[in-house]
Amino acid sequence: MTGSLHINGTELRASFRGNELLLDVLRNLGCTEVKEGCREGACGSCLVLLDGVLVNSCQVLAASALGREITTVKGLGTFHEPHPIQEAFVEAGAVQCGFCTPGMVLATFALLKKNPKPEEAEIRKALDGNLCRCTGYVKIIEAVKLAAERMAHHG
Amino acid sequence: MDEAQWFFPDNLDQVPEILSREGVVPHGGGTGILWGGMTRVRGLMDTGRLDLKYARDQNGSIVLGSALSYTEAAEALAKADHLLARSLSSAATEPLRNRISLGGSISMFPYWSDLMGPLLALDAELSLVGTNSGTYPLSEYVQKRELRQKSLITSIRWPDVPWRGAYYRHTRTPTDRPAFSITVLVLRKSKRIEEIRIVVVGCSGRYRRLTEVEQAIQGAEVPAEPDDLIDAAAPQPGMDFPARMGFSAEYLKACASVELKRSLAAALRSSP
Repeated sequence: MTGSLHINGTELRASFRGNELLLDVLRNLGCTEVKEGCREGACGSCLVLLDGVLVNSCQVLAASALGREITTVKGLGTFHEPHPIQEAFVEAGAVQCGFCTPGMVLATFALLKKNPKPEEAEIRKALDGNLCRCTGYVKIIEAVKLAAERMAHHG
Repeated sequence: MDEAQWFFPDNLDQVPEILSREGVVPHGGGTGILWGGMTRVRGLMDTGRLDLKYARDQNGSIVLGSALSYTEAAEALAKADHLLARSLSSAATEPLRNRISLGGSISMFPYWSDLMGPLLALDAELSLVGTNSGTYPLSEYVQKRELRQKSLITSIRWPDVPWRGAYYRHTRTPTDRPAFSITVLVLRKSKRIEEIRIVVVGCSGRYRRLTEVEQAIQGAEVPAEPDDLIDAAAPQPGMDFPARMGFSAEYLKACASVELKRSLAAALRSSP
């Protein structure tokens, strides 16, 4: 089947099979910032925002995303103009191998959009779908707190 | 599932014809379709354009649209501190809760469901569109396989009664699928228990309503410390379990017996 996917504000035409996962379609379109991890919805490496809602792209059939707004981590900030969450991850030392980072950043973005001043328990709950194989969770939680502070001050 | 044809109906009138086609099933966005061995699926009917995302108070009942995700349903019920809000918030992980739909979860009814125990205890009813258009008790829908064929769940409804209760899920880690779950609902008038409902999901036969325990407690006066009442009512509840997730059947039965008593105690203490 053929259809339009709206990725980070750009409309792209894509051809894919009816049973193809959004993860695979995005990566085939060059969105390699969407990482392929477990393919079971357990690790959070492949997270994207679908109409602003955090989802595992490995658990979404691409056809059901047609015409909807998809945001990957590249849609939040760029290398030269990073998002405050991305800056906070760097400053807090929350990036080790970096494989989980796109998913962690998007999960943080989704959390802070709903709850700008989360308690630590709420941060842990919001990141419950993200695994860090380097086990750097302490720094990641510090990064979320730092990002919340920055975003509260700078909007 | 090899190649699947997709259908995108704009309104419910189009649903019966689409679902009458061989091998076409509804898809609300959930993950069950990927996990369920859908080898016979030839087509998928996306429910995203149907108006099935709502939560309403209607004539003394709570009505939820079947396309609500676990997250959306939990948020809609959170203000009332509803037991279902607590059970749905504990299911899976944040991104999966954002995706799993109520309707899909009911039609699949996996043993690890955090939805079905509370809904069965609430005596929920389902509205269907398709070959079996109409309203059915959830318990009937679960028992009769034919009701699940070529039909779309459009809404879930139950009487808005001020139940108090407890929900327990047996897991190794918080994001595990539960090997079993226990739902207890209690309606109290002063110290007297007007009604109690107990549902165990994940036991042999998928779920069991523990009517013998309910009958032993219903109408009783609850003392400040209800342990004796609970011990007398639930000495050895009649439920068995299959071995699963590395747990033996005997172990799960022993755990369920202990957790049932704890859940009863929590529910009785939580009641006003």
